[in-house]
Amino acid sequence: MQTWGLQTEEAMRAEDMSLGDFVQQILVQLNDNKLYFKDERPWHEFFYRFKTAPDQKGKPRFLKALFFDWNGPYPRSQELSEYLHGLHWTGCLSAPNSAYDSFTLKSDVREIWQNTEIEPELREFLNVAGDAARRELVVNAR
Amino acid sequence: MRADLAEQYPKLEEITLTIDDFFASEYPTYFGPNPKHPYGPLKKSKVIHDSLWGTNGFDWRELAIIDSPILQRLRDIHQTGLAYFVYPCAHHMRFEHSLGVCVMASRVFDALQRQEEKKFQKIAREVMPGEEHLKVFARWRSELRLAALLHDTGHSLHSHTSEVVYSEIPLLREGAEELSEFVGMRKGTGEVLSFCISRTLAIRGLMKRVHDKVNGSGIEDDEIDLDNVSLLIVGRSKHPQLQFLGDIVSSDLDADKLDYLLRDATAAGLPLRYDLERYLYTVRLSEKQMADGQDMLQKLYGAFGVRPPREDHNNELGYPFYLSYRLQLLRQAASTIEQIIICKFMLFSYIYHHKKVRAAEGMLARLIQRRVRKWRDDGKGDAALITEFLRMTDHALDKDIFDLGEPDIDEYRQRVTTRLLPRAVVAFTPKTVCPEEAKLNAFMSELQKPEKLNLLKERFEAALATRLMELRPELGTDIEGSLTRAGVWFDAPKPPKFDKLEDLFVGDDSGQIAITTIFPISSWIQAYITYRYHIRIFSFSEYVADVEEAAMHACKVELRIDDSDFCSAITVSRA
Repeated sequence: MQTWGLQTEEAMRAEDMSLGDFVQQILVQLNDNKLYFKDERPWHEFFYRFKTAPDQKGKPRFLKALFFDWNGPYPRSQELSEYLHGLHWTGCLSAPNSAYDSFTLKSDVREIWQNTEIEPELREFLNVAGDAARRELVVNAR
Repeated sequence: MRADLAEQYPKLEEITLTIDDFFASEYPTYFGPNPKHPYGPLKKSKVIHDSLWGTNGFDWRELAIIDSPILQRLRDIHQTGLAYFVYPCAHHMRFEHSLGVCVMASRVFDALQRQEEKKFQKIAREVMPGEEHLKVFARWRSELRLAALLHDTGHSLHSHTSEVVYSEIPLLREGAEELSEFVGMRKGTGEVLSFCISRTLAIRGLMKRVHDKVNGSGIEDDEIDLDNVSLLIVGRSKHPQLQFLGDIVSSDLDADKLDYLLRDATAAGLPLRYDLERYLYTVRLSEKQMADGQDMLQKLYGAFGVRPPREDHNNELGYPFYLSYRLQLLRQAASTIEQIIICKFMLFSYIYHHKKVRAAEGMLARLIQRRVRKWRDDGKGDAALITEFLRMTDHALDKDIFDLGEPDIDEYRQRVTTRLLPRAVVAFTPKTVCPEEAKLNAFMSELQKPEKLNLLKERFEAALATRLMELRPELGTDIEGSLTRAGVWFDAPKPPKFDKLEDLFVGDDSGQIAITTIFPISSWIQAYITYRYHIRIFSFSEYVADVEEAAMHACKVELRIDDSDFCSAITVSRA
């Protein structure tokens, strides 16, 4: 497995995966699609649904602990919001539009992230999440 | 009668009891079994002059809090930590900030009451039916001002520097989780202490004593609800219709910000301003939905015996919701919001993230961490540590408490008090010239994962120390010891938070517009962080050359970047 700076011999397991790891693997699956950025609601609802869905094999442990604020019309995770902004300002995402409505993952960053080895059950879960992300997080897909 | 949270939130209860025990033993004449203060007769009110906000009145209840040790200890806690090492006039304290927030909170409230009279009356009819409106408004105002006064009482020496160590105390972390669950919003360890202080029997006893003293003295006594005061401190209220009061104390446009932006800038001598008059002229109440998909809000209001109507037929997004009144500015205030955001950026750039401020606070944080470790070694548990932090103010640095008998770390104390600061040896941003930019971007994005940040720092420091010990054998053979002796650490400050801006609207009941559609705030944030936010390696001056070489080695090992241009770009000039 290779997550940046934390190399181990083992593949990533559901219990080790963090929110940031999960976001990275979703982004890797979405290729060059334009994703919502300024409107974060699809992202928060996407994660909230996975958090509240019944447990299933490969479901990362962090989802259960992920906290959502109830302070507006939809649930909102501060951790998720901060991480998405972090990906933007660290240069992993680029916003190819002046209004910053959407972003895409930089191809050379994707190359680094997609080298992560992942256990089969977790991979299966990520594939399901990736399909949902294509429907919900890609601009104009909804 | 205080709402009982003990059964469902045992950690919050434990922290509150710990604080009560501390207050009783530390300040027996105020909070012991037979308190004699405040010594009567009490004045109805007093005026206090502030360099920012001028002359302002404080009533008898506020004076009881202000004169008590709970607020007086803030006279010895610098608002901006050790920033006075860079800005010599930044000697303002949490105390005057707390008074300032109190003044600002009531100015916002008064503006709302003036400009939204009908909504105020509607809310009063719904929340407190049958009660005289003016009395109800006066009660809300009193609760708001008390919350503002108490909002920073959980701070310890040098403000946010000791707050960094709070998160290493499990009882406070667990308390923060319970508090988040309780109020339905993510809360930090610093807020837990202020919240719990406001819930102590010490505060309740004090309020009762001053109430009894004024009773019959001709001073008008309007009852207040201390449970609501506690909630306002953490940005909530006992009733969704009163949520705007929580917003005034804690939100993106809160009274805290209105005070600290101007106070920090003025004290430091920075010419930063925002248009307060326009803010007050345009502040309004806006009816908005607060979704409650996990029933946290229902539980919160229920804990105080309040059962506001919840729309269980779900909003268009699929969640049950409460209708609430929130703080909002009219569209004419868009420039004011712009000024507030720019002010915040500039304060981070000029003060909070200044390299010498980071150097001083980094040393102090290490000194406090070692102090805590020694307390742990002496058998002190979490409750005792909380007590120690409440006992400490900035002058603790001058006292025996920081004589640890460990030469390496004792030198830190001397260096902090005499401003013998480490230097930044290496510094990089996401846009530092690098032939393998993606590696740099990916590494920096890993630092944004809270659960990996410390591990990555430790790995980088270990790689650096390994090389440094080869270059300077006199530093010893253990990683932690050599880093301490050379004053070396990997510094990754928290970037300024602007993650709720997309929820910020301007407008009125006839139409609202998200602030992010008016300004390209995202691009501002990226521009700021890209060019002004630095990851740094610090070192004591006498090791700079060797630490520089060791840091390049660590970059090769941990960032996997081996390039001479990159090395040149991240080296901080020593000229």
